[in-house]
Amino acid sequence: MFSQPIYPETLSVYRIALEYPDGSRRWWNSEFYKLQQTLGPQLFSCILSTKPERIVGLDQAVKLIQSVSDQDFTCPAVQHLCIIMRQCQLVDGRWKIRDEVVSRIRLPESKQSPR
Amino acid sequence: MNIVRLFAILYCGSLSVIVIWRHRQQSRYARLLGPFETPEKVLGRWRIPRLNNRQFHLVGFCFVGCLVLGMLQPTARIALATAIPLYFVYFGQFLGISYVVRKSNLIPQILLILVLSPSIDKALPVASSRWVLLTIQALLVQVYLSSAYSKLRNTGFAWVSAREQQGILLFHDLCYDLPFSRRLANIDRLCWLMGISAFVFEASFWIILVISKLSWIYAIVGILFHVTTWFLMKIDYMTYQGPAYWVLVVTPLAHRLLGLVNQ
Repeated sequence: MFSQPIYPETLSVYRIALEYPDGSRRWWNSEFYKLQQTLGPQLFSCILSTKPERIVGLDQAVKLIQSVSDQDFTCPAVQHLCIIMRQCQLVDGRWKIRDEVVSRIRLPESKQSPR
Repeated sequence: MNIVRLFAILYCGSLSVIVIWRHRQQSRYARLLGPFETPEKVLGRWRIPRLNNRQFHLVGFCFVGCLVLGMLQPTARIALATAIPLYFVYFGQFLGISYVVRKSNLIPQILLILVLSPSIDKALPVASSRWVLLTIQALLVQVYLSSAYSKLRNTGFAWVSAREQQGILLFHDLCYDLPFSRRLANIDRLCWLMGISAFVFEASFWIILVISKLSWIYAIVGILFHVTTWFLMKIDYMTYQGPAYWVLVVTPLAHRLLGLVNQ
């Protein structure tokens, strides 16, 4: 991909964040850090999909996110998985990042289990 | 001096240390992500079998064992020949790890060249044929040259522009939170300098095949290049491509060793 033209102003990346009961958010991290780049779009495409298999796909993606996470999902309990669209903006001649929550997935009690 | 065998010792030794060091993480990846991934095919034909945990450790142990035996004179050829299929089975379980995907491709190719080398099972003081190291160097050259070519083909000389480098740095910051990369992306002249130096390094790497005395300079620049891409973009070529760099320094190293022995 790094041989292809990349325009900073058109960059758009989907990342996953964990949302806690108090409303605070932390980026989802994994020791397999490349997943931070791939699982966000995968999860988002499951949400957007209209096919019936999307439920299975979504369930699998959530399980995978929990199993390879560096973070504990139980203490404090993670309430939502947020998909955040990250983009770059040139503000006063400097590149800044703009984050926007595009989707939130509520984790049921049964899903909030440690790996 | 048998420089090919010296290279085999250095290459297999460092590769086995890296595999042992990374084995636990690779095992975790295979266990956690294996069920979600479709097994890869070797050369697009033979599907790699999915291993259970015990088989995974066994294959890893055998692969490292073959590399260690590949360092010994009487067993080198047969051990390295056995390591090639083991590479596909073992590495096939965790190809999705960032430091493995596309970065470990040179391993079976280098092992195959060593297996075919007439000098691999000869004693260290015996002279070796030069084509073996030249072929391995050509493999390394092909990696960088094809990278430079694809940049030219896809983006043209605009790839070295500050804007392109800013895009690359910012993309990695968006994915992995690298504020230092973002800070660099705000310095146009530095971005342009980074782009041009990376491109010149890749496009001129073939010179080592013609002027072998420049090899060690390219080794130092190459290591700096990969350490920088790791630090700024989390692109890790050093882990599994790093041991191939011995081919750039093994000849001067052999001369130095010979000098020490003769003293």
